[in-house]
Amino acid sequence: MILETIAGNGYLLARILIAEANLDVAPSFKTEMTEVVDKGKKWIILDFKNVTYVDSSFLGALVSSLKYAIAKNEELVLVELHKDIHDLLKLIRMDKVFKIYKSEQDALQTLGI
Amino acid sequence: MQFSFKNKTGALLPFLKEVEFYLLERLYGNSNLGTLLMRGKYILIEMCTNGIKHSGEAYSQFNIDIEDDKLFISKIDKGNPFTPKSKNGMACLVFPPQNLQTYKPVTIWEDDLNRLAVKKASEDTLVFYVEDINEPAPELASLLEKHLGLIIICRAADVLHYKYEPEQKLNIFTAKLQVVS
Repeated sequence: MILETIAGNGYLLARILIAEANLDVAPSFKTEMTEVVDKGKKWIILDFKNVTYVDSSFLGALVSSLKYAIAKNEELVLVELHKDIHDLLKLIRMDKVFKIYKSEQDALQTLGI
Repeated sequence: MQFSFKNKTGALLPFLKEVEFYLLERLYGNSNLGTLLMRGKYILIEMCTNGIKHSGEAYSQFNIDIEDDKLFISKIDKGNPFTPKSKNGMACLVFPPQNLQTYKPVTIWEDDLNRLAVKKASEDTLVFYVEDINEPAPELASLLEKHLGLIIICRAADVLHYKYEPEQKLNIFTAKLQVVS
């Protein structure tokens, strides 16, 4: 199991449980994210607190999940990114397609959820 | 300094720590240390991931050195030469690059954020690079579908060279980063 989900008021928190977000877990992550999106919550907050690094395979699965969420009129936001991972997303300009917040509370306040 | 990476995902974190320890020793006191470590880490992750996915060998070899204010990260493995196709699939870079008539770049991938291109750098070397595409509202559908690992390495490095040595069938990717001290 890659994700733990916790239902909030108007949103779903999906916490990534693994530390190494790489090609071994990318297919399972994508499958579990599809199940999360299919729950039909408007907002999905994806928590990266446990993740120490990501590779291109996992990022590909993450982009696929975002596309699927948008197709379902849902919003996927990222929180609790380690500095290295946040810096990587900025480096490859993925900060322009993902909404990124410091924490779950920060996301909830900023988005008015 | 030579390092060996066992082409398994389980070997990645210990390998990263081993290299990080070496770089911390060599770059101690460098004002740009944090950035260099972060960029080096993601270059290594993608080079190792490439080895896990595509190398037929049990190990990938790395040379990591600091010379003349530059950090060099080279991955060396055996196999057929890397022959990137252009985005439309119509043109193909064939090694050795003498087959390229000019130094004109060939676009391998392009979406609303990144253009990944390759050009001949010398008679036996290609250089890969990424340019910004500045669409105000990036179209998500086509984004980052291909070559994301190569894009990450190009973005993290200042220069990415590729060289093929046909006699030994060696693929050599070298990322170069400027060390600011």
